[in-house]
Amino acid sequence: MKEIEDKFLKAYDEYAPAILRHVYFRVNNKSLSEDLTSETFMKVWNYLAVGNEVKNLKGFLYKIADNLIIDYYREKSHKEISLDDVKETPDWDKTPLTAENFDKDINISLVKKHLNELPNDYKQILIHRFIDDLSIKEIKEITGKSMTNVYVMIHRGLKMLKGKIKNV
Amino acid sequence: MFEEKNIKSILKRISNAPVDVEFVSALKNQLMDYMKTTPSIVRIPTEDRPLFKRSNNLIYKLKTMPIALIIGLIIALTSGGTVAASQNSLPGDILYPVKIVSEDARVAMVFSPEQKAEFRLNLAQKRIEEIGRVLEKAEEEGNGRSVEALQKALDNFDAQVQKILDKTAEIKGKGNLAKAGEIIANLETNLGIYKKILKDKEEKSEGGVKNKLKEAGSLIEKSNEKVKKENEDIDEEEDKTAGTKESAEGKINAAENKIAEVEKFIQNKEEKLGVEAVAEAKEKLEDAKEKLSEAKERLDKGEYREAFDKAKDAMKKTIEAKALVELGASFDREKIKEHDKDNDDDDDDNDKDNNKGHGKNATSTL
Repeated sequence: MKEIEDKFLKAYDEYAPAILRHVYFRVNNKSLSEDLTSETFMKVWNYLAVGNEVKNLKGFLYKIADNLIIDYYREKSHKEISLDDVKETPDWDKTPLTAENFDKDINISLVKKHLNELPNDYKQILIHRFIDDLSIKEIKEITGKSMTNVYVMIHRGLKMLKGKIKNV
Repeated sequence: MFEEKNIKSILKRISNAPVDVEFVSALKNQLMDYMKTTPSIVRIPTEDRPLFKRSNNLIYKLKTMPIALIIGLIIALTSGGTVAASQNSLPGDILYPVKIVSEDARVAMVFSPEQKAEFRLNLAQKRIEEIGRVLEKAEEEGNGRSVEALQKALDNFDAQVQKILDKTAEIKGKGNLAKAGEIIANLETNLGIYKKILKDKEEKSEGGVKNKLKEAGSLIEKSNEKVKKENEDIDEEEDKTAGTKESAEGKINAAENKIAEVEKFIQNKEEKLGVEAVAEAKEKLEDAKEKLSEAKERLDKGEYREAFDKAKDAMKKTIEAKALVELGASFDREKIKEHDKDNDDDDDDNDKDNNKGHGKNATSTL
């Protein structure tokens, strides 16, 4: 029992910030992302506590979070973020990212906004690839899509995102 | 200004986005408390199940835990070994009430009506499996208390079905028609299979047991009528929006997700149970895929109502495919057993092959 608890808490320390971030960028709502992250970890604990084994805990966490997000989107159409208070900021390549400047970075805000306009499955793949920094193989395992499909979706997703930003 | 490489860089910068460390730390503490209070000995039917449904924040959940749940937890925690031992008990056994209370405690631990309904679908299935085991026991030890035991299993089965219907009404009330429809379709499919199984048992039984199984058949028939009525109500509600593009797309997406989920489920079961056990389900799933592509074609043509209906058919077939694996496996094992009896020990090798992968449940037949 102790072994399972240790494994779970270690995974929590290691992945909780990443899962929270992933969920946040998928649902674009802080309290909802906290809620879904809570539920993700609770479900994983429930699963492990009854003796189920999980080979890749990181992938499993993302998979559960993804399922909860899919379910959320089935129920509601989410609200887009507002750009009303976005201000011009210095070059994004050089500015260190902090909680204070993060939301004011116009480039990040633009990408965030248009990322939210993409179809959910493309948004999911792009977030997994670039924000969660997962490999194609990991994304394949989490989403159940083929490697080719993942590659194609990344390519198309980036193209769509670029098109949307250009039209601003 | 925005080249693809720039977009990639920005996305990668987002991967360093700061998170609320206070929340992360608070959640860890709450999870640690939750881990202490979660009885780990009672199996939760999460395996092979979609992990659906968002509910309120864990902090809120723990604060608002119902008294019944707390009592359930106290029982579970103070009688851990008893709860574990009760899990294999049958109606009429001393520990059977403990099993029922622990199940209810587990249901109370699930927070959304959707999850509760899914959990109860699983419990209804358990009651049917118990009927099978009671009958096996009766064969070995004589009828004895089996009529009374069957009655208890049936009463509990009926209660589970009623609770599933109540939860479905709640889900429907929340406006989640798709999920309500999915649960009802699951229940309808399962009831059909239960009826078939019990009819088979009834034909082979006699005396009080036969009568009780006949009653069980009528009970399932009555439940089926309620389920059909609920299904019609949901259909009627859905029909109001079925002609729109959004509803057709929504139904197609839901069917697509369900097919993907069940496909993985079947693959997983195929590894454990063998190709034959899942062959029929695979065929059914292929039908579902065909319906889905027809739905997409209709959608492209702007025939939204037809697209909606086709996607609905696809969803139904997918649910049936899953039920065939979940419930059919028990039924098949019984056939194998009968086959073995008829052929005495002549087919020992085949028997081993057929039972391979059935694991610890291989003796729990229906």
